[in-house]
Amino acid sequence: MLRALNHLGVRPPAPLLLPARGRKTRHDPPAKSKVGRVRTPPAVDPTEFYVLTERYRQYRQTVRALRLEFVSEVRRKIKEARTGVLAERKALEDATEHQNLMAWNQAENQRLHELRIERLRQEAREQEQRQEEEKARKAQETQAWVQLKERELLQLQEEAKNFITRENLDARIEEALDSPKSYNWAITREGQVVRPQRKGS
Amino acid sequence: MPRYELALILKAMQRPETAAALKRTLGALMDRGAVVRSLESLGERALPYRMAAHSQRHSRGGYFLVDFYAPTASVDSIMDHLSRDIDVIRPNIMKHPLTQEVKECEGIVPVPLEEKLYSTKKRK
Repeated sequence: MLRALNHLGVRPPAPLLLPARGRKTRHDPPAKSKVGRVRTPPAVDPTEFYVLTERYRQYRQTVRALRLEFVSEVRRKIKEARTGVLAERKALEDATEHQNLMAWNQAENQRLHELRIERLRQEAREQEQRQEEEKARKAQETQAWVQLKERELLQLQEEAKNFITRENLDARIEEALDSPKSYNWAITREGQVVRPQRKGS
Repeated sequence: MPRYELALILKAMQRPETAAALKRTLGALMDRGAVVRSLESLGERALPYRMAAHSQRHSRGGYFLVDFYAPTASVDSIMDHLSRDIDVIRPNIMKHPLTQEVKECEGIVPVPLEEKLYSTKKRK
């Protein structure tokens, strides 16, 4: 209403005196000239007052109604989402889906378990086979080694007949002094032995 | 027992004395538990340089090669005995070359010469 009056260009009646704290604080006693001063509240226009209160009451009633309406709608929606028919159906579907998935998982696990057992058995068999092969190979190797050593031993025994002993010491010495050997020779790529020519003593 | 080779350089002597020295040497070897396999003579030759042994200088010597089996602990004593023998110019005992493994020759390894051109030492 006041805004309407402003639009028309009329100034509202200003009060004559406005209370303001100037020099004194609230704890200072009032002046002597203010003894017997009676504060009168501003005059109230009854019609204006009635109109104002009525309008405010209606406004607030409307707003409160709207607010309660909205609040109740929201709460209903929440309750619906939590414990409504759709929610129950969804929960049931979720449960069934979960059960299906668990069953499928169990089946998968079983299948993989069997595959794994099969694979482990296969590996064990292969391992055993490899070990046996290894053993056979080792046995063969040891046998070859033994045969080699036997052959070497026999060869050594043959050569031992030519060793120098105290009996044939003199004879061997004479024989060695009679036949001097020379290692000072080379061999060509064609296999021809080359010895040094006589260059003098 | 491992197989050793004794490369012996004896003093240039007459034949009977050389024979006696050899007999003495081989006897010493056998006394210390060696089994002599064979004895080779490389002849009496001029030494590559004049060698001094037992306060005498030699320019000719007889080269002999003895391969024998001996226990490892007696090699030291054999060497000791041989170094004391005045007829012996130079005794050398080494492992027999025929017992070494025949390693395959890889050929000439190419050396990167550019890396050797500059020194890689850290200079302050």
